[in-house]
Amino acid sequence: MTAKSDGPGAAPRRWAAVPVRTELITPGTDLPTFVQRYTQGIAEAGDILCLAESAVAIGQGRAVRPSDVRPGALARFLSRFPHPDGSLATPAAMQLAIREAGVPKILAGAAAAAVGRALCRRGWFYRVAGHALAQIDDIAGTLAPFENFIVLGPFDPQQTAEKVRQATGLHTAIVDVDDASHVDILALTGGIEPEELFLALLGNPQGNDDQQTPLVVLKRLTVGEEAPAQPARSAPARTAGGITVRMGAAHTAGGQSRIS
Amino acid sequence: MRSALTNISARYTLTGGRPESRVTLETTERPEVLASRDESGSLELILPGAACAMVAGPIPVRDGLVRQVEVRPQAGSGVRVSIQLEHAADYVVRSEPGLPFRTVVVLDRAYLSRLLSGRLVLLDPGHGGADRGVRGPINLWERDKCWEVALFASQFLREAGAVVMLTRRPEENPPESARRALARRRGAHLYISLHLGAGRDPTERGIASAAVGASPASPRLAQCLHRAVLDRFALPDRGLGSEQPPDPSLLIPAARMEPVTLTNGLDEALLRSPTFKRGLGLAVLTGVKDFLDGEE
Repeated sequence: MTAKSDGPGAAPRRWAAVPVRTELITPGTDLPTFVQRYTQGIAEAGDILCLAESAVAIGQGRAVRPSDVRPGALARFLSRFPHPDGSLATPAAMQLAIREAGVPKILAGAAAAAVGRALCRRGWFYRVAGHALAQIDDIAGTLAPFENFIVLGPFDPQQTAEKVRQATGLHTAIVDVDDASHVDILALTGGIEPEELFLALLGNPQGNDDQQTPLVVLKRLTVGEEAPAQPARSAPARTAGGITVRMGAAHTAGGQSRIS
Repeated sequence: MRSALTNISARYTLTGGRPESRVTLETTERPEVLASRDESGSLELILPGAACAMVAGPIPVRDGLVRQVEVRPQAGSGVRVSIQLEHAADYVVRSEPGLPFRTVVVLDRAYLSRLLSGRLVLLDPGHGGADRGVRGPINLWERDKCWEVALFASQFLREAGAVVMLTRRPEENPPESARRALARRRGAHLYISLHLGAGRDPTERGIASAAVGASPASPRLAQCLHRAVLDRFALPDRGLGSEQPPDPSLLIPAARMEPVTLTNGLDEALLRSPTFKRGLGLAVLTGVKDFLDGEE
């Protein structure tokens, strides 16, 4: 995909976000069935389903107890450098990042981060090592009862979104949104332009605390119903090639993303 | 498509300087809402004909007024929403058209204001200045986190009508005796000292509290604060105790609370979350409210 933006926040929102409070998604939850159950009677043709990435990851069993991770010397060393509030500031989380991306990418990312730091630029680690690592939530970064776990990013989000689309007949996105107007679109089956999806999710309708709303149904507003634009506090929308579409400011510290 | 209840949220907010508890029901269409009060003073909202699309069951709130909200689909059709309150409160129901359609129950927290009005609460954030206290496994210091939690607690107590003083500024570290002497000098009603636990075993985590001073009411204050934190967060309980020997110069109800154990990695991580620290601040408010409720 190519970048295309006139600056989000300027245009009125053409989609209404309807968060749905659900039971907790746990390892083994059959996501398509789960989504079907909670959208019954709510979602209709033309709507877009948005799923929180951390909930998808937990359903895929990608929540790991730190005690089950044996950090190596490299992880212990590198975990000293990220911002202490970031997701990779513990040896266990860094070890999982190494497992996900491989040693060469992590070392290259660390080198890029060092150069970026010297130039007062943030986010270079993830730019080089892979944006998927920004989806790692360290302990206490996710809603109870998963606060004791490190939650990795979802595995193959595009394929997961396609499965949900097949089950529900509705276009589906898997997203990582926070209160600071970071909107990362990890997967999208279609039905909406990424820029419009970004605008629709500004303001974080899924919430970042204990809202327990991992599912948001986007409904197209008719002319005259359009909502005022949410203020955009992040960088202009941008897209990158490949499966993952990221928009908004770069995740430099991982943030305290929660299933919401 | 008939109206379907999709979400409920409950929030403590400050509107025009006035504290309120708001329970918001989100539906796909404008619902019919029948509101009534049951014999315990709690509110029942019936949405006849509405579907329940969200997960049913209790939603804990514990903001000092709303204990929990419970959602139950009714046999046939319709949804019953029970807003369980700590005490009776005036309320208004407002509609916010849109998608989702929001029905907002605004609850008056005047009871808390009456209870706390004019009470001087002395909050003591542990350590300070060059004394950083305990360090977490990554990088947090007890001094700084106690200060942040004290600020949240101070905010909520003030908004509820209490007069709040802190025993120190961020850069200060007055001795324990000076902190307690301040309580006497200022005629404080309650003294609450905030610290963080430290364990030799890095797996040890959770809350511990203790009564301090010589007031016979101190153990109950410690218990109310301790219980308020445990009601809000699923933390291991390291127990309730009392300072030995009790300080004979501290004669007002006084307690020391260590809501988490900073030497534990998970507890340290919790302290990075503004939501968690805000929750601890609210727990101090509800603990104080429960204590004063018992006094009356």
